[in-house]
Amino acid sequence: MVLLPQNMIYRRALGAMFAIFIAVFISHQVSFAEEFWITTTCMLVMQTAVGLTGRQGLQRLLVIILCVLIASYYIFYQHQRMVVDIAAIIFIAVLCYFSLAAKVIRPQVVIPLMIGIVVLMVLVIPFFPLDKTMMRVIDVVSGGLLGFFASILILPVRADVEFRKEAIPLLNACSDYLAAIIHYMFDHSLVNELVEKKMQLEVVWEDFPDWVYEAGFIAMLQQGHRHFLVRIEEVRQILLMLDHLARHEYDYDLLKKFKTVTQSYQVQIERLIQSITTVLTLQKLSEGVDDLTEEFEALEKKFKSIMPYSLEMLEINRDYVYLANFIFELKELGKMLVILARTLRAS
Amino acid sequence: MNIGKILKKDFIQKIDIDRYAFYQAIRTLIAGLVAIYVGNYFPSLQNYWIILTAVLLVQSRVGYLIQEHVAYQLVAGLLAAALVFAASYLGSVIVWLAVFLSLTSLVSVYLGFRYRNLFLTAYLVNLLAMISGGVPVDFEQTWQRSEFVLYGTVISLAITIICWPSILRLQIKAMMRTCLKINLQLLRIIFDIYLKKDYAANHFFYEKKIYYLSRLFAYWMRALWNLGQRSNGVFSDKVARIDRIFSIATGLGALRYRISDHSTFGMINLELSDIWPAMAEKFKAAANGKHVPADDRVQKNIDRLDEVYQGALQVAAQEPIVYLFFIQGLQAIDEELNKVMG
Repeated sequence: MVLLPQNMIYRRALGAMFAIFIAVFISHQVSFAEEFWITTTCMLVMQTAVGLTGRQGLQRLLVIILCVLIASYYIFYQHQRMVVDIAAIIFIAVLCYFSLAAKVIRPQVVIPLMIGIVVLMVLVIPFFPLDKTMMRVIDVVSGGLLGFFASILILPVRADVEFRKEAIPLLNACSDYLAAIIHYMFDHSLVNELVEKKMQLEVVWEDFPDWVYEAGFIAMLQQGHRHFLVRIEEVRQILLMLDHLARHEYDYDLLKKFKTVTQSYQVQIERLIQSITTVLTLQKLSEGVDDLTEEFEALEKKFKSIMPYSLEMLEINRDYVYLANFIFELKELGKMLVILARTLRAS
Repeated sequence: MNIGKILKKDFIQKIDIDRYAFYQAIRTLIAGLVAIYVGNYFPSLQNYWIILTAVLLVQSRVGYLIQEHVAYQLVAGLLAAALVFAASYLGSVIVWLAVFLSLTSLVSVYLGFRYRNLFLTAYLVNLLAMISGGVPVDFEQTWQRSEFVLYGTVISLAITIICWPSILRLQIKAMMRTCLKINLQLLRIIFDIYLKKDYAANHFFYEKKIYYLSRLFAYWMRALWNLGQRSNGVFSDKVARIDRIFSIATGLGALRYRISDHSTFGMINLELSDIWPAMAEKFKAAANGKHVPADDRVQKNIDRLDEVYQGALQVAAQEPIVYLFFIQGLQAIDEELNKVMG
């Protein structure tokens, strides 16, 4: 078992390899129609999100069967090759619009494009007698079922493992981004580093386990994973807001009074994130999760000693409002991470 | 009133066409029609390969610039021709075909997941190989097949080059428009949360929507930064402002989980209901490259909200400071938008 690859990409690639190897043999032995239907359907059905193999696989299979049936019957009534070809092109062009307008970024052949491809294959590849349409459907069903079972049985991707693995770089990128924001706030010449860290976060964000949001995701994991995901997304939103607030041109004298306390708070946040990633790697924490009470108080104290505390006074100067907002967001970030850490420890 | 004008005002202007998707659909249509036309010149059973290749390959969109698209399409087309030839040639010996197609699938899935931009291209090339392997033909027709794949590639390349807004400025402007629209969509969701009051019941629905918009925005923003660097920073100021608007908008959304008593939203319901359409109108004007409208109502409505805050919310709300940040955020968005509009 140790020899089996743990990385999702390798598992998916090897799974597809074995499935297609079997599919080619099956299609050679039992195919009733053109031999490519089993392999192509198998590949299309395997295009599911993590944790949604069953639901999405069957959904895709049904859609393919319907497309094959409808397109085959269309050929039966329309014998002119040119008309059929043009119809196929118009159809795929329209579906192409919908597949792009759906704005799905994850690596997957989206359903509209899949429909377009299947219909194109039926209509453009030379005519097939209608009385054999059912054989084509049998091929499609065989390929679909093979793809379905292959994705469940051959090196399946475990949603919980994948979720934990993808959350760790995300949290680390958040930590780096926060450090860059704080450094930039006190030294605006560090703008390139800030942009770089933000970009890094966005890149890691691409692997965000968003399949947790999909309808039909494993019910047992759904609640906990979604909660975690929503919290991480909120952390990112706070960071974006901090980025915006850090870009304001503050009065330097006012700002430098906060430098030490803010930087030490940021270090504590980094430690907190490290604790969360330690829990995510299923290791034991050497010490408990700090609830940051002392740091919150230090921030609050500093704030009260420098800034007017009443809301009316705060509005007098924009620097005050922005700085108050910045500190508020920092505190919220800390609270959010403490909740995350505690939830993880409890589970 | 002229019927044309009524149609334009009440119907056509309200259709929100995704221009990128629309251009891609047009490219697909033209590539397919040209392929049918070219295919007619070759009275061969294999001429459908021209259509298949042209239509599928034109979907390949790797990179942000036309040069990148063309380069990747060319490589994909050559690779497809080779794989189609090999699959058809090996089709007679089933073991070799099985080994060959399983290896191409392995590579295509690996590349697709490792480099997400390559996913569709790798998948479609592999699909062509599978179709070819499923319908083996004699050597002469196999050779013809590869030849037709190359013709299809040429058509796809030609269409990509001709039907592409190759001027960098146009591409950047189109992307900025997309980003502004995403900003508007995000604001719509945020205002919906505060106005419709069904957030608690549809918690994940809203969160999912916000997440997908964030992700989409990040994707286009990265493309914009990428292109912006190649355009000597002509648009960098506007791009940075659009990025900032999104950050502030996400901050506005934070009210949803920072307010313990959501009934306080009722106190500002009227003001929010007025701010939203004014803001939406302004965003649409910005997306269409227009200047700040003379009857700009956004600031006026924000001022009204500020008055309610001063008069009632400061006393009634449990977390008045959060509302103060919210109003500041609205003002910051309006200011940034004014600068984007110039």
